Amino acid sequence: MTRPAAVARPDLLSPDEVARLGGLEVLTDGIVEGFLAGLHRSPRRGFSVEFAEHRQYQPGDEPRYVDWKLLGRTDRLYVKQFEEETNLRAMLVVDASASMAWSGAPTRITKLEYATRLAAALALVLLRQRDAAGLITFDESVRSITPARSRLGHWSALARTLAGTDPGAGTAAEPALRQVVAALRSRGMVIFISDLLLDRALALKALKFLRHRGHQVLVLHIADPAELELARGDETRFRDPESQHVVTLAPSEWGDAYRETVQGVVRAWGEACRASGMRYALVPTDLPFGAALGQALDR
Amino acid sequence: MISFSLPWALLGLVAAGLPLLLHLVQRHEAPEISFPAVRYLEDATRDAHKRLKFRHLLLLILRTLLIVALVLAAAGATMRRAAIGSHPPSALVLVVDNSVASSAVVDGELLLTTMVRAAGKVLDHATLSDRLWLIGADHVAHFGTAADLRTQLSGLRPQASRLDLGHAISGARDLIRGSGRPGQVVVVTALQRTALSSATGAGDVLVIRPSATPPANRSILTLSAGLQPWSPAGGRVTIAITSSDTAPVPVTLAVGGRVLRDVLVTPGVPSVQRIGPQPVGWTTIAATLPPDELRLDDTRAIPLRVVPLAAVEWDAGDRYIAAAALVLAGDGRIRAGTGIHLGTLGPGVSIVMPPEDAARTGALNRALAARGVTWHFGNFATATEPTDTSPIMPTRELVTHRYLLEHTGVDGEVLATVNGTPWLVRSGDVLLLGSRLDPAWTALPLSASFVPFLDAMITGAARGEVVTPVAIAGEPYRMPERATAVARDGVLSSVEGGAIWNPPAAGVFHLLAGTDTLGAIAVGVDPRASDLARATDSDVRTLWRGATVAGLSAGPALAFATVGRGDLRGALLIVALLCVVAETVLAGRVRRGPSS
Repeated sequence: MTRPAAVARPDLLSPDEVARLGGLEVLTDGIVEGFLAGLHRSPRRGFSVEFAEHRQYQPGDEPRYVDWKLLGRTDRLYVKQFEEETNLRAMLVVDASASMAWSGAPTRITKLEYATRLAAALALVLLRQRDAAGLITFDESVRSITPARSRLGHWSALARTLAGTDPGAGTAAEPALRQVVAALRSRGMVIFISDLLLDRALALKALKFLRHRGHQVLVLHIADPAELELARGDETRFRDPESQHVVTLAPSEWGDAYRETVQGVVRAWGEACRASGMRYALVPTDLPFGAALGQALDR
Repeated sequence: MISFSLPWALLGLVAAGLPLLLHLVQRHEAPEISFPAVRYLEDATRDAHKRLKFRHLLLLILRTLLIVALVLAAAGATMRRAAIGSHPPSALVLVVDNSVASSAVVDGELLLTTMVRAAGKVLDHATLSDRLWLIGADHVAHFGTAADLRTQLSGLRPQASRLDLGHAISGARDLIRGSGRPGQVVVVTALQRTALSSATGAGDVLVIRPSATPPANRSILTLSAGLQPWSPAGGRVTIAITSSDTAPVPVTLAVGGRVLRDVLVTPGVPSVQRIGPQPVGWTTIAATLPPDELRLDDTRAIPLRVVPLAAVEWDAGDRYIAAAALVLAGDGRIRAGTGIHLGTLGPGVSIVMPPEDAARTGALNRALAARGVTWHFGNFATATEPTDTSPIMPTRELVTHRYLLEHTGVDGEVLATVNGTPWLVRSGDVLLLGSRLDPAWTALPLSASFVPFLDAMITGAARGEVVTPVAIAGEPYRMPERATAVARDGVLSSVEGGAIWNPPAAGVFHLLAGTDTLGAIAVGVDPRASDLARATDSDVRTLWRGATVAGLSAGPALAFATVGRGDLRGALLIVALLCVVAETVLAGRVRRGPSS
């Protein structure tokens, strides 16, 4: 797996530019490399996991984890220990329904292509820090289940599964999320990547159940910019690729009302997730992967 | 209500369908795209869709209205002024048909009362600047203010005469045309079918008529005493009645105010009744029906003249006169005697014909002059010409030879004419006939009119009395030259001899010349006036093109409604402008979306 020399920081390129540079496996490595390099320059250090406990400083520990405030108060050296250091098990749940295979512009990648690349990058980040990563893909049923492993070589299996994921039919997240319960027996992390064009009540119920089981839950709402802002134009017949339901209207007349509706949906998901201790991030498909990873990993 | 000066421009109304057509076409051409977030579209439109749909509908209506308003303006739409405000200074002729039918009692009220009330409501719509006339069944036009005409209306009474509505409307239109103003003829009438006739002139006509079904009616159609005068031996009368059904009706027959008998008369079948010996003089025969809802035509009266038998002396050698005289004598109309000289000039009453020998004409003229007769025989004329009709000569008979009768004084009267020139004249107790009663001179002796003509000359004209003619109430009648007054029920009214006289009512009118009775006239109700069958509204609209027909309650509100027409183009253009403004605002809102 060699990285093209021309790609200096693929994580900062636009997703469609990244897609033109090469396949999933090749580019993901570049994205993650670039993302981690940027992370080192960040004033905030550490991973997006919660602080766990202090322990006595031992020679060889990285000075950046020394708790200087505690040193000032106790005159003793302690280092902060984080939960990720407790060998996290993460499960990526990726929506591969028909609605995900849609792009609002020919120059943009589809939501599914974006989601698979983002999932691959997240998996690589996790595996590199010796966490276990697994994958579940679904449409109206569970399409594939790849158990969580912490070996770095496991990423190739995950990447192949993601690369071979074709868009399916309808969307039903609940069965896939139920599978997570079996896949993550101890506390872990669930990263739910979907366009959220599904039954919100059922999905939230399943996600809350996971949260109740002690898992950290991260919802990444993948959306094409054309879904967030309706392009102005004359009367058009809009057909849902999943339900085949048709709505006829003039976008020029309904643009504002639609935008308000979408903002309401995003707001509702955010509030519902926050209320249940879950994290939610809206990820437009024109957002560079590095920024998306930053949102996902809270960096 | 709305009319157009350029009706062909209304074809442009087809364009009013364009907005709808475009709307439908645009709907069909909408392209289809795949869009996963259809559920958000549904959510976005769920609340506002009805509002936007309403705005689209409103836009469609506004655009259609815009086109309709422009097309109507282009077609020069006009509207009755009454619908858009008060009328301009106008002329209105109110024709109130107080003829026989107005005396009918409908729903317990005299029809004329209801009609006058409706006419009063018509006048309520008049303004001080209007010119108003009232015409009744007497055809007299009364001009005045609304208050004046109300006073006239309150004095209206049912007349025995008939009103020809077409004639009345023609006169009313003349009045309006003369006023130089826009106008309307308002006819308040029972709208009898028999009263309808075509009208001349042009102009709006509003017909206000009762809505209730006309009552059934019976009337005396005919009451005739045959040839008059009667002899004291009596005579026969003929009675005929009309009715809406065929049931026999009792008719009371009275002579001289004394009831003679009740007679059962079948409608349409004349009944002949014998009247016994009567005293010499003038009397009246009356036939009366049981009362019904229309009383004016329930009684008919005629004068009856009873005279002693005329003693007539005729030349037995004149075969035609002799034959006719024998017929009259056999019928009890005359008797042979020396009272009246028939054919030659005698010492008393004489009916003088030209002599066979022309050489004796001069001597005859001198004898006539010696008697004080103001007429004499003039030049002899040979030309085949018909007689003119007259009361004494109701038929037209050909005359081949005649003497022109020349008048030499102021006295005397013409009883019959040929081609407008005197043919039978009277001066004192002498009658002069221009032709001999011989087929070589005139065809009269060979015609059926000969005996009645002789009878009329002998029993009536020779005595200087008018044979009782029958006149129609309200219809013009030419008075005899000598008449100075008419008397009815003891009431005298002056008349001008030779002038036209309109009998004011039904009944018997005696003609007077000073203190002498010239004769009498039987004035009856026009049989057409007794037929209460109502014309249909479509009959009216067909006959008087464009006429409006309404009931007594709703009709008055339409008065002045057709006077002048308001130009709607200005209003329509304002509507169009408002439509454009509203369309612009609404279309902007639609373009900005449902939340605007």
